[in-house]
Amino acid sequence: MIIENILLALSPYMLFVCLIGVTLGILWGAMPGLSTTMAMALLIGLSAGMDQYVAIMFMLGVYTGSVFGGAISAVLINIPGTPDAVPTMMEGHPLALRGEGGLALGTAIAASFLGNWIGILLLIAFIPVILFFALEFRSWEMFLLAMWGIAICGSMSAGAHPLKGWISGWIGLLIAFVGLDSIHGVPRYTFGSLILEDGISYVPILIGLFGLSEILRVLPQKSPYGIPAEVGRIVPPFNRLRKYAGAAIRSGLIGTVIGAIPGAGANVASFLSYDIGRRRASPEERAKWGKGSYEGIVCAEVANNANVGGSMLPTLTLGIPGNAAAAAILAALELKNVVVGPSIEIEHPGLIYFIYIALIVANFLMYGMAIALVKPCVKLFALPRTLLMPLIIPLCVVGAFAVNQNYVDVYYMFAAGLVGYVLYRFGFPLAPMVLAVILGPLADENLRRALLVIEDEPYWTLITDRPIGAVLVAVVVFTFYDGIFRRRG
Amino acid sequence: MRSGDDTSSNEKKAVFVGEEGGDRRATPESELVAACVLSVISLVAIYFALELEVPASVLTAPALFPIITGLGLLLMALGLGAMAIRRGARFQIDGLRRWAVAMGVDDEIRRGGFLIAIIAVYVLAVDWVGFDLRMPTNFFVFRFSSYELFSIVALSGILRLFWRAPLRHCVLVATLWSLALASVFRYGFHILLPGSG
Repeated sequence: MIIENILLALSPYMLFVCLIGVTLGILWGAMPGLSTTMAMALLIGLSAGMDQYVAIMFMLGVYTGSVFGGAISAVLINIPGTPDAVPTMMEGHPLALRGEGGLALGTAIAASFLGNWIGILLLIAFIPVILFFALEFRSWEMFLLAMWGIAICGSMSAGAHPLKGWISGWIGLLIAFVGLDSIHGVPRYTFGSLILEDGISYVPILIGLFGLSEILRVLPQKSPYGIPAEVGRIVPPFNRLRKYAGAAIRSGLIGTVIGAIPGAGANVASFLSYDIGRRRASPEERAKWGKGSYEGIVCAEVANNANVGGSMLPTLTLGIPGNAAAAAILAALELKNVVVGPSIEIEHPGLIYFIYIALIVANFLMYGMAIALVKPCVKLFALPRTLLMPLIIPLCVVGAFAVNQNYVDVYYMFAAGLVGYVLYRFGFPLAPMVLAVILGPLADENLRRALLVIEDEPYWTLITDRPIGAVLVAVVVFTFYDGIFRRRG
Repeated sequence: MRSGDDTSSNEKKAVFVGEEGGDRRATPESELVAACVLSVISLVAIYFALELEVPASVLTAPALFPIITGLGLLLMALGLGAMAIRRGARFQIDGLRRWAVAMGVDDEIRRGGFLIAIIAVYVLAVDWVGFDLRMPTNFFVFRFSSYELFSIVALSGILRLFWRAPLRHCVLVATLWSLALASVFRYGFHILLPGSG
């Protein structure tokens, strides 16, 4: 059964389907603001008419491709295709401006390839161990993890002024509170509006803050910047990859473990790994961070791609999706009457091995297709900004509208674009706000659940009885302390 | 801090300012203004959170985290204000007026304002003038909605203003791009487009 499934995954038709999925995923992810989750959600429809195994192959191809695809527009036009590509944007775009866009993307591709491998291998080898660790993350730990993500993103993206990064994150949290609260259904900050009761999706915020505000700040410049059309070398030299091997393995572990924690997605993984990478980089290498660091790209891309394998851990073994994109895989499987969970090996023998092989195949195809797409992408995005940026405007409108098919999201996107533009003029970074809008509901719900659970116990049991929580409290405090100390220093 | 210095190899006079780059533009006066606005926002957030009902325990109250967040934001805004004052900003009407005038006469900001106005009209027009024409052909039903129409009009205008190519080139690019984009989403991914009624 196992061999049969492996051979099935390697059949020419399956390879072709996977290639289509990977290509669609890369192109979708490369479009500013169109996220992995949206790609998965929309393409479930395409997979509905397919056979069970073909559908799985297709969806995993889309998943793998779209996670990498976000890096393309992040590096070449400074607009992340997906939220987890923000750190890649911060490091990759300065490199593209120096004419190293091809190599920056090549590094991102190699890092994505490696990240996927780490995620897959850990998925295969350490399912029980990682699952045990991930399941120790309860409400309190989830709250702390979310707050750590926002705090780190704030201090990372604001350079010498972490306070401004945190302010941006805290504004994002306030945006995330809009709508019905998840525990009691009480409307918050809705001012009697039924439309606001649905809350504000992060997708229009992401598109507005990074897509529209980038257009608003670049187009009016008298001489907008451009990236050189020469692609140059794409595949990074082996020595460079070897130099960053340690950072890559560390980032892969972070990405997989974060992916295995239900609810914590690739966004947290890439920011955490990016932050830890900067702290551990050599002084010479650290000086390059924020100005175009290949190591920064490696840390972010390995982590968000390893997250794919990690997110499949709870999805396959518990039926709990590791993130929203994994939830789409779950939905696609349910369409085929495949119910995943602890009994998956009994009810669908060999399916799990097919999924392993599908992930491996998708990874190889992603590598080949991504390398093939670098040159045309660099050429395309090297067009004058005065021509390229206006063309993104209708894309922003469709991207914002497509999530809920509700035009109010387009207004949110426009408002977010204006807010992003104003914040930029005042020197505030935008990434923490997006991350906070994504993680805000998670933090809010889990904080209140955690407090409810320990209602009759002393509060310090949150520290004394929860070793992982205690460690997380320490790192959150350290992140704030380090930010303030660094600013004073 | 990233700026045009990073682009020395680029022949164009490139001005790229990344995530951190806004810092360079943030004068103490602008930080003081930001601190004041943020303080007001945080107080408003706390006020409306305090108005929320408490259905069960205070520990699960919907207002709990918003109040904590509002207080946190207020503290940070005060910190930002203190930082701005340390950097030389003062609560002087003249100084703030000078800052506002400087922002107003900035050519880039004025062009930005104009661009914002065009995009605002485009976004409103697609929503308000929603229509969806269906023209059956031998092979498929060709559809043309307010999204395509206003995308073509808005893009042509923006391209003419900023790209500065001849108008016919701008219209051609805008038309081809809008139709291609609409076709991919509508016929390829079967996604409903905005303004389709």
